[in-house]
Amino acid sequence: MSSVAIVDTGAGNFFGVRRGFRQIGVRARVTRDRATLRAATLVVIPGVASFSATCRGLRDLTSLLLDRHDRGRAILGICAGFQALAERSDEGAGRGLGLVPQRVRALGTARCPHIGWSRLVRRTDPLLDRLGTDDPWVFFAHSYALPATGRGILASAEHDGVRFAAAARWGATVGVQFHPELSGPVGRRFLSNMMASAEGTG
Amino acid sequence: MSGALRILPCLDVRAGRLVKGVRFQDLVDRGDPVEAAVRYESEGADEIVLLDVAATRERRGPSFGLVRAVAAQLSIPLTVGGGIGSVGAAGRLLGAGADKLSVNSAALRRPALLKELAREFGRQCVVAAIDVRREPAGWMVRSSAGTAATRWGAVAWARRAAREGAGELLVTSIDQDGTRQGYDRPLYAAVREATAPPLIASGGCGRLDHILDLARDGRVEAVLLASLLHERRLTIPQIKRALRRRGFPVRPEGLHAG
Repeated sequence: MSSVAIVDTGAGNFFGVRRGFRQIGVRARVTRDRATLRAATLVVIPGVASFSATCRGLRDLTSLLLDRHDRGRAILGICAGFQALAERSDEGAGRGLGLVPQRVRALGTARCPHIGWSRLVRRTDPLLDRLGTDDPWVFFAHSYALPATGRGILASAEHDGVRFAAAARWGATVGVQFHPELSGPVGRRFLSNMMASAEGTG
Repeated sequence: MSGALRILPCLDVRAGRLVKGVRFQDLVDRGDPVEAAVRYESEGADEIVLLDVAATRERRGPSFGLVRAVAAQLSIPLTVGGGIGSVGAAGRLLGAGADKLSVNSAALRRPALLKELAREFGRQCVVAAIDVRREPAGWMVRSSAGTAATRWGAVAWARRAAREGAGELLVTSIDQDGTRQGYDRPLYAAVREATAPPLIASGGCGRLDHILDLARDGRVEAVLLASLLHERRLTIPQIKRALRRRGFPVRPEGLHAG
């Protein structure tokens, strides 16, 4: 039986993320329990809040999450949870998991924050498969992002002429800058793909 | 504009029912807000906005039960507003399923509220709702659902709200609200000129041309629509088709782009 554990970072969109999994028929629990986080098919690091607040919420779980990553057990970081997979951020203090030696940058666009729907330009990957025929529209709400190119980047999106990372995969660990739980049918399909991928590795 | 112009149905609720007035007065019952929210999402709404129009006057926040009931059915963002005056109340609404919070009168009384909300939840969560009336002195901000004057000019308050922490600005023209005479386009041009956050236009839409005018102006990222949609005088698919035909990007309602 597949299980999803959402890390209780103290500041996240737990309602939306749980609802997103419920809508694809998967029960998700919000927890900091170490045994649950170790055993889960998929661990989700939720977004909203700031980089610093998210990193603070992960602090005593860093080694557990890195161990999961090393053993190829799936992790999904959403929005600030994606950014927390990197090392540092322009947004503020705090240290992420450091799965990639990169820094999260301010978008630096005239219109900021970037709130709304943008299209994913994607590489071929099962995670981003069957999201519709054209470049799919997904919902973003952020002022910072990882660079659009680099190791593991699966998709990028654009706001006000600036292109940034929209999805990445490093081993079994996946990050998305958009909010699948707020992206309608496209988002539901992504979460289903994510579950299928996690079940394959878990 | 790189993103899609967002179409935001606005559910004005009072006592758990959908209502709509003209120039903020004469509220008429328009049905069940949960049903309306679900229908609008399936028609391609980009977000849902739920405003409790009586909350400030009755000195309370929006109903958590209603927020939860609406949020449980959605898979697009939900903005909730009406009487939100503290970080604690805001946190409870986010816990009940709101994705963004719209703050109006309480921020006018105490602008630092916007900063506190942004610090706690991120500025992408914080919408400053600004009700504006044309007066001899210019565009002036009104509070308490339009019933009370303030000392703020619209542009000055928009700029201040953005500086305090608002991640979006929802600017309603009281003069145009419910009149179907079109948007106050100069107002949006003026606010856009002075501020960076996404701008949501509200008040006065009577037909497709009014939305197309705003799209051509390119000053706003979203339009908020109420009576026009509730009365089915226009539907979201009609609006999106018209925008797409003229080359403005819109998000398709299903998995397949049009």
